[in-house]
Amino acid sequence: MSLGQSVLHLRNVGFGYLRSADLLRDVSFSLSPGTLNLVTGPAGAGKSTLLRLCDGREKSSRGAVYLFGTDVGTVRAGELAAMRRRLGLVFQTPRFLDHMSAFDNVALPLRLARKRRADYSKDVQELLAWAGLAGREQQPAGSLSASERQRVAIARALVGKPDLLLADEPFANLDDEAGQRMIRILLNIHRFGTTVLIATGNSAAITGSGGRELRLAAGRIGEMDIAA
Amino acid sequence: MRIGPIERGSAALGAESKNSEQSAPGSILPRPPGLIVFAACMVVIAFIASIAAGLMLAVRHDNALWTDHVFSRLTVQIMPEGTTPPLAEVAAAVALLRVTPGVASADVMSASENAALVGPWVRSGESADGLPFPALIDVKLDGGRALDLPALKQKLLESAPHAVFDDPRQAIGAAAPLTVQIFWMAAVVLAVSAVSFVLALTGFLRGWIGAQQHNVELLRLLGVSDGRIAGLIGRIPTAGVVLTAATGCGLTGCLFVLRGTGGRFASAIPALVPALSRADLPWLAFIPVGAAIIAWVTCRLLVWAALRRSTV
Repeated sequence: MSLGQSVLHLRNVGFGYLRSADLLRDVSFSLSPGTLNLVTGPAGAGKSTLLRLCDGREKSSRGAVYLFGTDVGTVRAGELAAMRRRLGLVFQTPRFLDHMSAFDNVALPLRLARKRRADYSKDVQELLAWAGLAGREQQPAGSLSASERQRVAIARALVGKPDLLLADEPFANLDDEAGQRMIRILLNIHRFGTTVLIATGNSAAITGSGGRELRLAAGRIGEMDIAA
Repeated sequence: MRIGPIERGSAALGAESKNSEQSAPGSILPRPPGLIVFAACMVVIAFIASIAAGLMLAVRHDNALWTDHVFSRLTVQIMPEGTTPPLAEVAAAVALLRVTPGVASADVMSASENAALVGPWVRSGESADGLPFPALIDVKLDGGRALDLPALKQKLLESAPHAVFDDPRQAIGAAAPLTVQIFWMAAVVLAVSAVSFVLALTGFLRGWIGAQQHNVELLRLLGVSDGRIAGLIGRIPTAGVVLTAATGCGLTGCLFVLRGTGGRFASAIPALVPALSRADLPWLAFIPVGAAIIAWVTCRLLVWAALRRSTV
């Protein structure tokens, strides 16, 4: 697949934190539009680092990361901001503007895109209800439970209809019921055209998802298909 | 947006949904802590800066007045011999003055001008006619040419022995350096106010930017440009600075106006506050405008410095 066709393309990427052995070595893979991809591996394998390389928070020490066809390592700040607007990000520990309500946090990407509140209010309400947060819209984000925060984070990541969703351990803070729901949501979101890359250590969660597994071990990637 | 089926909660959208649609969104970044104290400091600094600026304007105005009306004029009196001054001496003095280098004009004041001068000291109904009154020669100096005053005095006494020089410049001249000192002292106070403002603003902004690091990183990850982040951070402090500086200037402007009216409130205003003409008041607007520009630039520089250190 060519660079232009892939949403995300890693070519011989290497990365190591200071004074430690390389965490990632010669990692190469491409994500096609609208596909479901799961990065798996044991704790400390470098799953979160891989996602940080993809969204530009880290720079690779070797190779190149192409996001929407552009090298993330050499892009200017303004361009990186524009590329990030096409991403949906779910962090391992959800980040919010804690003085704002759950509704306003979910609507934040739309508000930052200067859309009118009247135009997006209904969509945000539906998204929050869909994430099981109906009736919790006006709660300050800081007062939500860990599970609720994670669901608000996922709703915020999806509200702008991103081209690529990067989710780092999205099921980590969820209870069983909420976890199952979120797994279903994230594993199906690619059907609506969004490319999904989920880093998770919970291999059982992805059984039967029908996506592609990128297994990280000893700094290298091994690919395999997951049965539907 | 229809990402997937709404599994539950559709019925619960009622009241909360309405609230969300109607309530105005809060500011993207929270209000900085300590904003009230910072605002109070800004009002005080603007107040002091406005008084200093007002003093500079008033002193500059007084200096111009003195230069035009005092330092550029002198009066020659031809004292009376009996009840009237000798007319020959008056004519000789005027003739001499008009050809003296450095003198622009020399004119004998008319009887009505003389009467107006002594009017306040004459009881009503009485006339100043018949009083031994000197002939007054109003001499306007040519500011561009030097006047040799001792030589002029000597020549004048030779042609008009009853001549007396009334040169107010010697008496008032002693005060002239004082006005210059007041002007520069006010300029120093204005400069110190500006420096204090920048220091207070920098301290306030650095503290707030530090406290907002987490939120700023989140905004960056959501694809907000650095310029917009700087704008979001700078909006409240810049607006606060404009508002408080305008308040401080407005307070001072009121005092200037009250002082200038000379009414019953004028005496209650401290002597530090000069009377300022209404024409000079618009100059005070430069303080909030200048403060806003400084606040905007300072904010941008500090935010960009902070963003450059950011790892996100």
